[in-house]
Amino acid sequence: MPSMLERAESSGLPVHLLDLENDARLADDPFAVWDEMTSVAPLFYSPANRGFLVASDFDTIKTVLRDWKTWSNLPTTIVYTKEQVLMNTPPISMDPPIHTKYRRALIPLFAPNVLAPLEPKIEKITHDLIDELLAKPDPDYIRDFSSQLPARFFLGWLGLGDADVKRMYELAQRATFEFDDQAKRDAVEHEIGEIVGDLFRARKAEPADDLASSMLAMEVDGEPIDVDLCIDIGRLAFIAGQDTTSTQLGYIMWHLARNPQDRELMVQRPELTNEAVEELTRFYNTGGPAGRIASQAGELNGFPIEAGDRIFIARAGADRAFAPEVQLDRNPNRHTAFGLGAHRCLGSHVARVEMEIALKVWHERIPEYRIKDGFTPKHRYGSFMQQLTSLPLDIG
Amino acid sequence: MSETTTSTDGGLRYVLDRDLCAGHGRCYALAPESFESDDVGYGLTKDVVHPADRLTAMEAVAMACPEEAITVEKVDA
Repeated sequence: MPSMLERAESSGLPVHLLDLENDARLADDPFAVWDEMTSVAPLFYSPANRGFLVASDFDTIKTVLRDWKTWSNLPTTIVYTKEQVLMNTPPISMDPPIHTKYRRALIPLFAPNVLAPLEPKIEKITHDLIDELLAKPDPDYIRDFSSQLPARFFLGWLGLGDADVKRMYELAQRATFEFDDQAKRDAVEHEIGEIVGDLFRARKAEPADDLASSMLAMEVDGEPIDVDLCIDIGRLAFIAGQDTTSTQLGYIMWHLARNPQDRELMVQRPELTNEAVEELTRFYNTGGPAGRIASQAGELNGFPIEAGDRIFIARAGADRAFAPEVQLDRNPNRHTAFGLGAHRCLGSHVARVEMEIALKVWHERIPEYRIKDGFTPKHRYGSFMQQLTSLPLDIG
Repeated sequence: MSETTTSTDGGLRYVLDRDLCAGHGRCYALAPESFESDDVGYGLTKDVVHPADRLTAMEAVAMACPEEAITVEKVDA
């Protein structure tokens, strides 16, 4: 069977390097990388590491994400890394029709009507964090606010309200960004699994009013879900509930702190916050689960696919290609920041509510702020997303 | 999904493909007069007919659906 590279060369598919482990620009200007990838072609081959296809425009991404029969999500290695690192993160690592059953059980737990009564808690945590941040001599939005809000809210909701939030956030960060081989990844998953396992076993014995108890009450095919599988789902929730929203908020605020007109708009017209979240999530798309492996032969944009082919979903560049600049009240605004199809981000409603409250309360309380003089932004990319690592602010 | 009986001179309505809907919730956030959430966050259309001059605004709502599950169609007079 000809390799992906041989097929690319014989069928005229562009070959272009996307090296997510070694491209230094990912530390300095990651969006330049994504813009470049989308400018190459809707579909191309990257020879980095074990080699993989890259889908980089909306239509190709949509085709891949909808075609789960060809492009499987079953537990598999991260497509772009040199070392083979297996990710087993149910229900992301399931395919329909089994995925559909678990997804259907989980969806109601994260629905908008469930979230509405939780909004006062998010507002309270937001105010508390702002109080704490304002008391610091060197406020940093990411260290003091965006890394803390999702952690405090989500961990409390999950049932880990008494946990050491700093340690929990560090564990989530390690699980996403700080591993270079299977052993390190397994070690952090094991550590998270123990924390989440203790919680779920305690709630199994004595249910409480929290997300862990709701997950344990889920049924699939009329039967309760196996506790170990429930713990695996809880492990994913532990990571995804913290890293994703915090990272997205960091980028949103990085934009607003650099662009006084947009910051002013958020202060003067808070009713635009929802639109602003959409636009800044589009323009600073942080990634999200980004690989699929072909489970059968097929065709993509005329290119012959063989079982085992790896593909990377470069959503950030695709979303930025819709419009190359930020316009907070953009309408219409289509983006893929929460994914597409069967695996659409389960927590998207949670994330949107957290981000909207975070921005509204912040701008009520802190209308004047800017990036500290001399700040050089640093970013990092890991497993499926990128993040800005710090954001020091001058306030007032 | 809902049939309208309120229009006599035509007009426009949204059509939502529930098989494509993945529950992003953009429709009922952007056009709450025309869409609502079901019990778990997926979109439902309301029985509303819009005048023909709303076409551009309606197409913007349809465009915001990441799943391309929404279309705008003419209501027969």
